[in-house]
Amino acid sequence: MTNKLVRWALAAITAMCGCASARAQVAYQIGTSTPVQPGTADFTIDLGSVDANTTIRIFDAGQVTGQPPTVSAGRITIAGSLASGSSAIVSIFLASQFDPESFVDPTDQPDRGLVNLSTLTVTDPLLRDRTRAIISLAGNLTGDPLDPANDHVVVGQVFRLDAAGTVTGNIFAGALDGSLGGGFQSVEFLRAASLSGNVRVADAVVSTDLRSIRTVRVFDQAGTGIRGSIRADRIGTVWTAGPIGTQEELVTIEGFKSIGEVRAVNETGSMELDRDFFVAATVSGPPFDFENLPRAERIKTLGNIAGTIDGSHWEFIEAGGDISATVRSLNVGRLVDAIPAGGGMFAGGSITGIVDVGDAGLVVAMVAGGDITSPVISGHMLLSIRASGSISSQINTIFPLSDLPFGSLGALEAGSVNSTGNITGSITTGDCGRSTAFGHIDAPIYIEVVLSDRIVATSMREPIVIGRTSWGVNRRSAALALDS
Amino acid sequence: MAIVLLAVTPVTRADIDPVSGIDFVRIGAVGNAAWPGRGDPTDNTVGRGSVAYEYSISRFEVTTADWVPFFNAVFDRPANDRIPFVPLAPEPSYWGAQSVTPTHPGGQRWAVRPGQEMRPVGDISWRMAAIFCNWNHHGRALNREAFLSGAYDTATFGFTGPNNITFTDQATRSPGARYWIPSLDEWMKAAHYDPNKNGLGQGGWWNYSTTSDTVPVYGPPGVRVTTGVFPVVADPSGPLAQANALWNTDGFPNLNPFSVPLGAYSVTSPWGLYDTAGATTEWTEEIRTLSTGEKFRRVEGSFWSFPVSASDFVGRTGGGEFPNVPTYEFGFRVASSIPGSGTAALAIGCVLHLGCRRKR
Repeated sequence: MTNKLVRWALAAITAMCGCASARAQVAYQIGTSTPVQPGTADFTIDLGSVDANTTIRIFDAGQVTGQPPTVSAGRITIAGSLASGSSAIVSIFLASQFDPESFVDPTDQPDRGLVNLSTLTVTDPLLRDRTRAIISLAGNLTGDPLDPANDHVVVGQVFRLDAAGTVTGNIFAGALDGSLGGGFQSVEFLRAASLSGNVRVADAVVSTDLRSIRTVRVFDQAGTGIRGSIRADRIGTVWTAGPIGTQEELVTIEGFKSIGEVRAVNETGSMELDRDFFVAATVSGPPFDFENLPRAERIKTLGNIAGTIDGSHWEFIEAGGDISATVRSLNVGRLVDAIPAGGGMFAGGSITGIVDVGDAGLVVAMVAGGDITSPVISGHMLLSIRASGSISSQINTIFPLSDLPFGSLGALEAGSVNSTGNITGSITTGDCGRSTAFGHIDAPIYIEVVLSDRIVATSMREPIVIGRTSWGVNRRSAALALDS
Repeated sequence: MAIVLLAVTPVTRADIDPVSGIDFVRIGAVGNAAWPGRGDPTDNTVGRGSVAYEYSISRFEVTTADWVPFFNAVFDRPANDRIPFVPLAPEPSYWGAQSVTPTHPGGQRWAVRPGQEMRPVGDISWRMAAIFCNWNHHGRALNREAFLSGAYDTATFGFTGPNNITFTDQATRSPGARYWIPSLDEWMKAAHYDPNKNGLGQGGWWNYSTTSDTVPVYGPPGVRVTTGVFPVVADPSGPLAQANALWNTDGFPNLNPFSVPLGAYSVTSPWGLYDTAGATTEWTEEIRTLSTGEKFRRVEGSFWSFPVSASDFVGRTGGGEFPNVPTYEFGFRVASSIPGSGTAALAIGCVLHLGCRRKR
């Protein structure tokens, strides 16, 4: 009983948040029938047995031309079922009543239909997967605060969901790519000032069935960015002007087959933000603030990762196949106590894209089942780079613009006892741990300070140069290793 | 099935503006009739497309050869002198550049990879396009001020309102601007209006910017393809592709829509513009304002790898976006007051001439 009362109170508050007379103004219209004003924030639209294409418009009946909507809806439920053998499509158009309904181009921006919306759910799974939706809100997709773990938009295809405010609700799309026509994906276009809800598609049944998310765009650079997870078979572009995740909340972006690009880039761009932050830190000395910087937290796919991963920080990038993406982490500036961190990169195949965490950066690990050919700039530290195949990277851990004398390379390993792996390219580092090639090393190696472990290879064709003669012991250890 | 991608010969750029290095076409037919519409309620350009003055517009969308000098000017400078609103993302190797040694400590510099001069450039925000115009307005000078005003005053760039939904950027080019982002009217006219469509001197509007009333054929250049489905696949009995949209690696696993050079298709607009359909979608100055006060800059033309071609029809613009968004689909072509080749009366002749030249 108490729970019901709370729900009622929430619904009432939601309905009234735009204007005091809002309750009677949300309307829906099925096809060309007379619009219905349900009179409550929560309402059900019962379609009965659906055997023909059906359009449902949901809007603010009191909206004045040229003025924004003033009312909100609570929980909207679409009831009914798909008639036997029917392939009808239900199209939900929640937008201004003055805009023509159109499901032609998901980049079209329909004018706003309501202020806020709590939930929009198609209950029958078969009908759900024949339902597509355009939702255009002047405010927020709030979800259900009493049921935050559940899905709050449940349809077959999100053709376009666009909120001028925050999307807090979780979004679920069940339809296969292309199943509702036009080559459109399960989630075509999601756009919001900030995104804290999760976005996911139904699990693929067989490998040829794909459910994809084409575009997620989060535009408010003063907002909270992306704090929900994003999961689909394929993810096209995720772009945010705000951060992805926080130090406390790990955000997972999973494209089970592919990820196009994930970019967290402020409009002033990496370099500009770098400079601005550097200046601010120097003048006032505030603690470094990860919260306000773009970051790509965790990216995982069973397939390949191509494109660009761009942010101040990443924890974890894993691909079952190749990582050919340019992975950069340059935003945080040249501060010793503000190291732009690259976490681990793990590829079942090869790692080939540029990896650049800048002059003060740190990469924990790069591990590849195949080759590593990436140019790597990790000016503070690169702890481990290991390829089952060969390594032909240009690796640089020198930090030339700092008073720090060097960066370091922890360990380098190519090949295994079962497979030949050569090290070519070039290595420039401050100090260097063990380097092992189950093949030859054909890379010039320049070590600014110290070789602290052995370099082992079947043959070496290029010189090792150690810049400071005072570390002669280590030079000898290298020589011993080579002799062996 | 073997798919043979015919060798693509970059189009000769014969009408190069010595200041910007851009190949411009002159658009005449001053005071042309506006697009009259055809009664479709989703037609959002009725009454638009009339331009009462001559102007020039680039024959191609911005190319790698155009963009590398700009990025070098923006990024190869002292670390305390960065140019705002131009993010370095993604890596320029995306669009045909390669990293070279900078001339300033902390700077970054690129060169055009051999053979990649005509590769299109995406990931351009409206503001980046505006700053490119400023820089050209000032003769590509390297002083900071050369980037910040001239065509568009970057001091106006910003957002206001809850959640920063309303941009404050100046609406249209500054008086006296020599290079600018085309208005919707300028873009429509250059892409669709033909001063001789109905006979010599009898102008009219083509439905599509391929000088045709029939929807373009989308696919890789030089390949015969299916039509009417997405993704497009090869079909030896189908027509030759005309525009770089609606196809991707699902249909052509060994081909990449992002590496197709501009000018690779034989069709043009009535004025000789290439790739108005396909490659990037192109920024215009047009502003779409919602009832909430949210403002978006309009784009025009379909774009690579995307399944929608609606905006290739003269009666529909593309969607819009905030001016700070630099994602992969966005590029532009430059308009200018400088003289360029071609006149209204010579438009068809120009097309024929180009066609002959490409065949040689």
